[in-house]
Amino acid sequence: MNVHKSKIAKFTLFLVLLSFTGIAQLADSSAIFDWRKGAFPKEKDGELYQIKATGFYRFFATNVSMDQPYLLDQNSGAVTKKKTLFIGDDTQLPNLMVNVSGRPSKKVSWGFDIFMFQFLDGQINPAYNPSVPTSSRPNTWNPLMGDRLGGNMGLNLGLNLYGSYYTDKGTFNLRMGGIHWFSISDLTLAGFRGYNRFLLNERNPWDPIGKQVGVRYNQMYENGSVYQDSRWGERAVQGAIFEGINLPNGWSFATMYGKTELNGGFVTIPNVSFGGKVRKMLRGTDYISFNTLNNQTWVDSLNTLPLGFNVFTVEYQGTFKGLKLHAEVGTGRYVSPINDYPWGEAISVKLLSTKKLTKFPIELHYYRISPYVVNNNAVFWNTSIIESAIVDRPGESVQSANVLTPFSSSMVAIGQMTNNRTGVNLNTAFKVGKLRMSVGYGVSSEIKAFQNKITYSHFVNQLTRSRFWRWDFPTNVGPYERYDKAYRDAYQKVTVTDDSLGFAINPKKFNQVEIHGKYRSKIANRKFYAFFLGRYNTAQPNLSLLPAFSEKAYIRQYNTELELYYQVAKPLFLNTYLGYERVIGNYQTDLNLETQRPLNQTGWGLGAGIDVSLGKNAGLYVRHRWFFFEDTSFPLDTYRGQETMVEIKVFF
Amino acid sequence: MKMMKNYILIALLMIANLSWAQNKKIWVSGAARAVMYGDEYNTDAENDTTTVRKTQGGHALVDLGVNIQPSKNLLIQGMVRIRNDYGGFWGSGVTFDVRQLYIKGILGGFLKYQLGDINYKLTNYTFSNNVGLINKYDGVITGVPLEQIQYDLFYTDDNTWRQQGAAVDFALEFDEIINEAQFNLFTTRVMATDFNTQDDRLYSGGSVTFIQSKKLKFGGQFANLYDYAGTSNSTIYLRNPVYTGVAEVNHTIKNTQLRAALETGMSKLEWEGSPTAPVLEDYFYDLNVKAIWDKKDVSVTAGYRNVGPNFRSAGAQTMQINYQRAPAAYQRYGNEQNVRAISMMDVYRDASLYRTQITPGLMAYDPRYDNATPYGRATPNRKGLDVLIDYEDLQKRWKVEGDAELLSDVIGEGTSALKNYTTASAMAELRINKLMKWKDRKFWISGRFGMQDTKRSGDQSYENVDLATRFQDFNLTATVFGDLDFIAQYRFWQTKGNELVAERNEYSQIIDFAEYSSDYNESLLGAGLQYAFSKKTNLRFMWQTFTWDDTELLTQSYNMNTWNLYFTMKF
Repeated sequence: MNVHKSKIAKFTLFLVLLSFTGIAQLADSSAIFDWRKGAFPKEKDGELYQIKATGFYRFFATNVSMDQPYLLDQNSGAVTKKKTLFIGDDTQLPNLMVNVSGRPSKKVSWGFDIFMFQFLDGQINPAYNPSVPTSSRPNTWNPLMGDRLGGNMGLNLGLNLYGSYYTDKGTFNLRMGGIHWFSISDLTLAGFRGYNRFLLNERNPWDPIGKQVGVRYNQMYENGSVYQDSRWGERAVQGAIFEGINLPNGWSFATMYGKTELNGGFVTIPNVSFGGKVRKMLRGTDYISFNTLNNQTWVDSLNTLPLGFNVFTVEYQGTFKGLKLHAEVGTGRYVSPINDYPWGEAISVKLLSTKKLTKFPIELHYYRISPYVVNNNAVFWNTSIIESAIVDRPGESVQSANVLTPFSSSMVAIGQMTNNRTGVNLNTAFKVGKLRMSVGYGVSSEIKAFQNKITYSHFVNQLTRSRFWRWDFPTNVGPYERYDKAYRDAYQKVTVTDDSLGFAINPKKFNQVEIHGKYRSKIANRKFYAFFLGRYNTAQPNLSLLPAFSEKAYIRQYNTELELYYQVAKPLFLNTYLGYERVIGNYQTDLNLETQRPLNQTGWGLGAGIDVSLGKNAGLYVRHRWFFFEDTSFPLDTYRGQETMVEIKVFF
Repeated sequence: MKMMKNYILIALLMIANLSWAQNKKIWVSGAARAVMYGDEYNTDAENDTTTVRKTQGGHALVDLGVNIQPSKNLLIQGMVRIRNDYGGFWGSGVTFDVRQLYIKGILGGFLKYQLGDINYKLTNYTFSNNVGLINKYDGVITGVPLEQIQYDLFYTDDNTWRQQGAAVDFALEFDEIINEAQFNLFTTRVMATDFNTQDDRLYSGGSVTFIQSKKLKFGGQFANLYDYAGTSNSTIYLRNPVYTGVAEVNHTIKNTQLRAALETGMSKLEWEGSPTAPVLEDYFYDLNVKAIWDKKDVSVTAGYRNVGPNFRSAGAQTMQINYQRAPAAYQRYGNEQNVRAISMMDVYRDASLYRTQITPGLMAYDPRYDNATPYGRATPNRKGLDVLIDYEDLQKRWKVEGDAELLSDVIGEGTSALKNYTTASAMAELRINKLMKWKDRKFWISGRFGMQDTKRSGDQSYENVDLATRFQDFNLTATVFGDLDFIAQYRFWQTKGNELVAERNEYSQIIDFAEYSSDYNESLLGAGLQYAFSKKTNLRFMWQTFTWDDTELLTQSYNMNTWNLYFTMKF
């Protein structure tokens, strides 16, 4: 061929592989050979239907000054430093969280969150973490081994896939991956919600901030609660969740198979939680539901020694004659390779009078959880079967320690149940002028004497105290080795000595009083809020209708807290905090060998701070606190100091 | 006023164009999946008190490919893989990594280039990712995990190999003699230097294809795997050039298409600078004819090929499965904790058994899963006939397929006697929904029987070889309602007999023969439900029972019950 003769202008140059324009080298299916060669694919890549990103930025820093050292660990002799500057939140919550979600089609979606930590520790490098040599990196097939990329990055809530199937018979939803926030019922799978009796002075990473500062305070006053994020009352679940809603005749169901935060980990021997509910809506919001949650694993590789628990309940919610009944009744057992535990009962019945019957709502809550019903995924803690506590936290379940729950006889908030306990709670809420009150009262008793230990948390300076032990969750720490670190808490253990050679003989009895007062007014035409929270608990050997404010109680714990918020300007709130705590033990509890006296603890917290609006969905929060704690009977357990906290939070 | 209207119109058009451009400048593509599985191991071996009876695992991952188009003729894609393993809470068990990165564009309005990660292929004898017999036929159950393996390893339906390098494709169109000339050029690096004894190993080549008319195509290919001399201290350099020519003609007589095609070429494998290494040179040819009766939807293809014993083409002979690896699940089992042999269940679900990069020479293979053509069509030392018949009902109510290969050695291995290899399979698929005229409902049944025999007889007893493989595969897909299908599959694989398997040295020359004996079978029975959220998004729940039965007791027999949950998305 003579190119010149054919006139170069006559031949055209064109693309063989035009992925941009969609023109492709097409396969000739009838050809013997495949004549398509070169780079593939010949077609344009697909395109995601929708993608979006939300999240928050959070700068968080604390500076603690303590003139006198406080013994953190008796074994190592570690003590608190005179000053501790910490940038970041040590409770696994990051500086930046970006929730990315994509929707390949209208029916399906996926999502994940990327978080980034930043500790401002002056480690200036090309990247926050050193490069990971190829030889150290996990291979594609086993991504859990070796050093991974992005040490300051990660997924906090994991990677989720969603699918929905809409029919005229109902909607079916599938969730896979995780973490998914999911609940079944109070006795099977749910997080403790309580009665919204808490204070707003402490800054939680998950707290929404509202469009502008002050919104949360108003919500707390107006609604008795504040807006909480999606995990409120839910449990973290990984695996598969399949739900059917809007089914004919008011039926719905939900099933789950996978892991909860308590039995996570990468051991390939199955350790699985599975359960669900079948619900029939009756009239209005009335329903009846069958719920179950089960856990199964094996302690041996041949799967001959099973371990786990089963819980089955029937739940009913109904309204009649001004009364609203919510009852959940069931049975459960703990399956152990060592002991043959019987089935036990689990009962939680709430009767609420509505405005039709009484001027203000009154809720009566009766519960009884057998010591043999074990399920820390529910709104009751295990306080009876210690082998469960160990198995719930196997060594390789790296995350399970993050959500430790106290074992032993716990003094708990109203609404939080434990097994091996029966009791009655009375809750009400009413208004007196501008004052809104929420009051709770509880009496409970252990069913059997299992443990000779009582545990309780210190509500005043709770987070400040928990920050003494960062990152880890050590047990038996502090002076006298009587504290266990938990997630955003450090609870105290006290041994009761009226036992028989170390075996408890007296089922312990508990009384709780909670008073939550909320007041809103205006001072100098500026908004003013006052929130009061009093929590008064006792534990004693005898049942007492009223709290045993005497030496008869093993432990008396009085916590009184008050916080005030005042709007100086539209974008600026001033706030103050006052907390006072007294804990008194009797002589049937641990005595100090030197003083020969039981617990005699006093705690103070005094704080002030500001909230500054930095724009829509953005705020600056500064808190300063003077804190003090002493146990005159245990003189080493004494500390005092100041803590300054700065938080900048921006939602997007 | 009119001017004002025009301005508004122009402004609106500009905004519209701008928003379109914004939308198309960056977009996201990729895939996501969540997988959960549970295995239950059972054995009749009474004394197995060691092997774990149950295991579970899973993961969720998303591959986010960000496509950036800074200009009309330029595209950059970076894909990140984020994976979260089952059981990891609050950030544990998470990995991030780059999955692929490339830039491609059009230069001068006619030359397409791509740099970075590239999927590439040429022809069956130069550069092609050949699928082994064990994976050749789709299954509705076994295909589900296999599809994920293929996706993970960049195995595509186009038989490409994932390469890292640069490629250029362009074409010229002519007025006379030929209509079009297509050019494809590439160079990639398959191994980086260790700065000591191993040079950078590159793979380069290309093809030119002339389309004379609709009736005639011809062209040439060149592919060369070679060490880039001087990039290490090594003085020995691998060279493996392959040259082939290819042509195809077709002619239509009434309703019958007649086609004939030929690919022929030669190869050379040498270690330049080595006084001891051989130089392996050989040739091949592959001649095929095909007849297609459009009105009947029938096609018959017949071919004859001869591939020389020293024909070496790394890009065409690299196998997907690395049989020298051990399966990831239950890698050791039994009281003796022996390494478990690769089974077909592992082949369908274990990505760690597969290879992602082309390899020079000839790799070890497993005679159970293909003793006749382990290296695909380019398997050396093979000559003989092959036939493929396709017949599909015009209303798509049923389909039958038959294929056979009658091959033999070109030269004897260890003896002058030649082995004969007979491979054949027959498949029938019945689409009952079409027969019954059910609309919006699938009901497909298919079955395949296959065999492969290797025989050799001679005067000496060691010359006698008799290895027989039989396989069966049955599939069922039936719509339960809507987009929910019931799927079921039964697959059986059996190998019985003896063979002398060639042992090769580092230069891929035969140095000895290993006695191979087998009398085993494995079967897989599975059933499940699959729901299609869309064409690219599926949810599948499957249960399978897999049995490994070794009559010769060379390995411990066992049974594995497995459940799988696959939620897969592509976008």
